[in-house]
Amino acid sequence: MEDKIRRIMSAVFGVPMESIDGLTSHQTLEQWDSLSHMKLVTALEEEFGVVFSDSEILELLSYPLVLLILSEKTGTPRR
Amino acid sequence: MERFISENYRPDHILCSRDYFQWLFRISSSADRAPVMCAWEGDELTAILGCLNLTMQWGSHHQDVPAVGLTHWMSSKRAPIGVGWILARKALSCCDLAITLNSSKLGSPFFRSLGWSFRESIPRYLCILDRQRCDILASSTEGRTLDRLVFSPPHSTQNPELIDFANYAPRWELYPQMLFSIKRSSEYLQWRYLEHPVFTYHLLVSGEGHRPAVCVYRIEQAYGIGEGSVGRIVEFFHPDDENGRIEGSMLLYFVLKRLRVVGCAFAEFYCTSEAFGQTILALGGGVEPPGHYVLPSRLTPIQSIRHDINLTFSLPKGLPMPTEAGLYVTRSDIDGDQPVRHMQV
Repeated sequence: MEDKIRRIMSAVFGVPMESIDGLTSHQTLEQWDSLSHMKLVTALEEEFGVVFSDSEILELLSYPLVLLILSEKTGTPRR
Repeated sequence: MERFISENYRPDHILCSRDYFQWLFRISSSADRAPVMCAWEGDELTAILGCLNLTMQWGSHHQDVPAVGLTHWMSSKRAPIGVGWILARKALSCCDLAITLNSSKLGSPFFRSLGWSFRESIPRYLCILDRQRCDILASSTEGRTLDRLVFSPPHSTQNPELIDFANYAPRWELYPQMLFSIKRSSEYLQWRYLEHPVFTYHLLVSGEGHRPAVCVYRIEQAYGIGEGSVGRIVEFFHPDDENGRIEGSMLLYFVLKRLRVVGCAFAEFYCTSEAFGQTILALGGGVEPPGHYVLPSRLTPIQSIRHDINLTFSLPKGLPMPTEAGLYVTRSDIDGDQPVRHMQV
């Protein structure tokens, strides 16, 4: 799951996969704006077959949070 | 709401006018709700998205399609990331078909990313009524282009027989050029033009009640680097047959003559339908070439750069893609023809 998420974030934000880590967030990544946030959410929903609630959309603001919320939604343990 | 718009945009933004707000969203003065999606953080309003309930024809004259017109998508600087899009998603949960005009540089990429259909610009038809007055307004070097757009009707053009709007009852199967459009019912025209709280629109109907030609226009006073008046034609349609085209041509000729008499420098008509635009061409006008600035479109004050009106719409499964020949969208759809500012500030 982590690799998938990092691959998606790399594609959405146009940054190397290796640079996506525990510090990656909308505050540290300049490319993380409203539009790319929407693209990220859409890509995650499509890849994992989930639909995020409004509150989850507003919380998906960092790589760790994405990982946490997706793990809970899919019942997949984080690796 | 007024404070949110005033603080985040301008205090004289037209949506700060209570009369205009009530008219646009069709609510009474005593209403405590409006079809505007709002996002709150505590007791602070952070984003809004207006939703106009529309009745459309979409591929069929026999079945109306409910749609939502998205308007005034605004957010404060403090709005959390993602909130604007949440509002758009909620708006779409009400109706599958959504349409919007003039989406911003921020909004357009959103809609494109959602897979919506996008048109960069609606064609703008121009007809020069007073060449000298246009030179005052234009301050451009498009002299040759202006010469080619001068109102020059055929000698045989006659005046139309105008009829009362009360007799307006079109059989829409006679208007295939409007197969994909907001339904121009009498109720819609009444609200959109005759009840407008700011602009004075002139609504003319000619021919027969069940197959009329229609033209709606207003006169705008331009100021800034030059001064003058401009005729904004916001509706023009007629039945798609020989008699309908003749009726439409007579009506448009009548309107252009009237605009010239009252001193308008030029007339414009934004419309996706080439069928109706052709009538302007036959009377001497033309279409503004893509990417070129010929005459100002923003007049209060005059801005000497080109401003396109873009069109975006969602296309849910089960509904057909609109055909070029059947799509009818004009400047006045949704909020495309709105006052620039609230004059009572």
